[in-house]
Amino acid sequence: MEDELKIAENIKKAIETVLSYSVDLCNDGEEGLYFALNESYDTIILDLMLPKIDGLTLLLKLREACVKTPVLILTAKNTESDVIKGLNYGSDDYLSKPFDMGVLLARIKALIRRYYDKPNPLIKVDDLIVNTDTHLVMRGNKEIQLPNLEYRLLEYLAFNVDKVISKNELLEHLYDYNWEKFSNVIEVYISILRSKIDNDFDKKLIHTIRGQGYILTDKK
Amino acid sequence: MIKFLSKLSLTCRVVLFVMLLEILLVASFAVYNYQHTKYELLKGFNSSLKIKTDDLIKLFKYNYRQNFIKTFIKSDEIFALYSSERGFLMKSDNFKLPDLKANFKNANFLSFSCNGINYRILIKKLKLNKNDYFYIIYGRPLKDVYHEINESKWLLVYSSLIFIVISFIIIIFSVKKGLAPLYKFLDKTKSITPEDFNKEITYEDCINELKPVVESFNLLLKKANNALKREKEFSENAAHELRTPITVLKSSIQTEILLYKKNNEKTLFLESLLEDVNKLNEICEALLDSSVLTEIDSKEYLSFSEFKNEIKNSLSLLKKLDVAKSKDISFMSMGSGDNLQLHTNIYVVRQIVINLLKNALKYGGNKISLIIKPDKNFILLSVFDNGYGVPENEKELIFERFYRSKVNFSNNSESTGLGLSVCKNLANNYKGDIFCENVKPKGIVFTWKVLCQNTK
Repeated sequence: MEDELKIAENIKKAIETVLSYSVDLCNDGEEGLYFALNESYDTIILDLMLPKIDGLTLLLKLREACVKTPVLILTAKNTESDVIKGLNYGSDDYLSKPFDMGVLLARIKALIRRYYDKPNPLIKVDDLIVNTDTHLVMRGNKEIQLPNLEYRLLEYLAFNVDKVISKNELLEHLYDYNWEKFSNVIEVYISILRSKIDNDFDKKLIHTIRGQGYILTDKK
Repeated sequence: MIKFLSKLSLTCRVVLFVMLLEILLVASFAVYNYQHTKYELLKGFNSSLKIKTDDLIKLFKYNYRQNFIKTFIKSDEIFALYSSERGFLMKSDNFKLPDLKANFKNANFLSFSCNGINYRILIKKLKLNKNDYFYIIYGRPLKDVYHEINESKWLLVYSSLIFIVISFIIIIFSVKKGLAPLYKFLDKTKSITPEDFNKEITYEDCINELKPVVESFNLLLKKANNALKREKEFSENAAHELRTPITVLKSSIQTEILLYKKNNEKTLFLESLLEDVNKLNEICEALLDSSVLTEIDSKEYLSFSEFKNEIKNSLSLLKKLDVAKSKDISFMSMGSGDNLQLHTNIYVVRQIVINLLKNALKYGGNKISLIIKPDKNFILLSVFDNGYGVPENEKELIFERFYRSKVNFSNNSESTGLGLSVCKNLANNYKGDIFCENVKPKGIVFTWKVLCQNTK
């Protein structure tokens, strides 16, 4: 959520390019609040000086609505009292402008790992290793090359290992707001993932739960 | 005298002034009273002298005989009857007078000394016949009246002194009581900090004379609060307006670098652009810091251990820099400062120490030492390095904004020229100072003087 268009575009471009995450952009607090309350995100990057609803008020409303999505505050105000205020209002991290893009990207990754309770960048499910830092995937001793979307799908399932994830949730996570939500792209990508992750191995890790969704697990 | 008076408190000055006035009045009254009493006593003495002389005249007319007259004269009194034709007809035994002929013409009071006794006599003239006159001479020793006058004098002195002492106590009490509302008001003003500018001073039972002062003070507080608010808003706005375009530039360049990672030529170009943007950012931050006139942190004092710890933290932070790895950096604290409270705060310590150390790392040699030592009412933090030092004529100039010494540092364009100016500003805000001296054989020492007070 950033009212300065160029900064917003640059951050979106950097995240999509380096981290391969999808990004929704909002230019004012009202729109941002609507999105944050009605969509699920892995992280929210929030500028404090937003028009219509300012960042701190928006943050307060989010926490009152029990939205636990990690929030990283991005702002030109960097006095200690502002930092303390932002953290007390419920933000998880704080970066002052002008920031280093590399630092921003690293902090986003760290927030997401913490959000999914995966402090270690290496997520292991049986003999499958997903390195969320380098985006390297290994099963056994075999390196598995995954393009962007397939990796992100696998990473999301790995973050939620042993949990059933619905198709809608996967769609919301993988695509930005503008994507058409009624397509069968998830089924296609799950199928491709299975062929790369499970086909050459006896133990299957990606399972379909009828009527509910998909799960990455090594348990029966 | 004026210096002495200027050191006194308001209560002491008022008491001193009132006491001086009182002493003047009491002394004037005592002197007047003494003179008046003396006059009355002498007048009374003279009256009784006159009365007795008249009585003697009547007696003389009634019974001329000396023995009879002598019974009316006391042993310490003197009496004589003198005829202008026949001379002294009778006189008392202690009557030994100098020549009084010149004074026999008129009845008047004479004072003279006879056998060591001061007498006052009255001479009255009686006409017997055409050429014969009698002079009744009667006198009394003055010692009695002088004794009485003396007694009254000492009575006045003692009573004046007692009066002055008692009134001194009453005056002190009254002045304190009278000035209490003023002191109450002053106590309330003393406790005001910049955080309280939005509050008003109110207190019950404020005396009417102080109400305009309280109102004016509250108005002043309101104006100061508004000025502070405007300054803060300006700082925040300036910060936002400066940082936003720099963020746009930086984020654009960094995003392009990320996208064109493999294109070395373009990446090099973008990285050099990024360096200039970072420099621009440093200048903006330094300018914003140097324009902050009020303290960031409301805490005004640090203990000596807090001060030392913050220096150690800043030192360990900078030691991680690549440029620091090849340098020998040491830190030493001389003397004990356990009872000292330093007039500064964490933010200021961090800013100044980091600035001074960064300069030492950039321009100093391979050895940097930090030394803390107490010096009367100050703590001195000195940063020594064995670099080139600074020319004597630039020692003051380097603390000015944007000044960069080019004498020893040809590539000084990397510096913003604001670091030392910010340090000096911060030090001065807390009644301290920063200065530098070249050291022999080679190098420079920057010393930060921090005002401190003993808590004991």
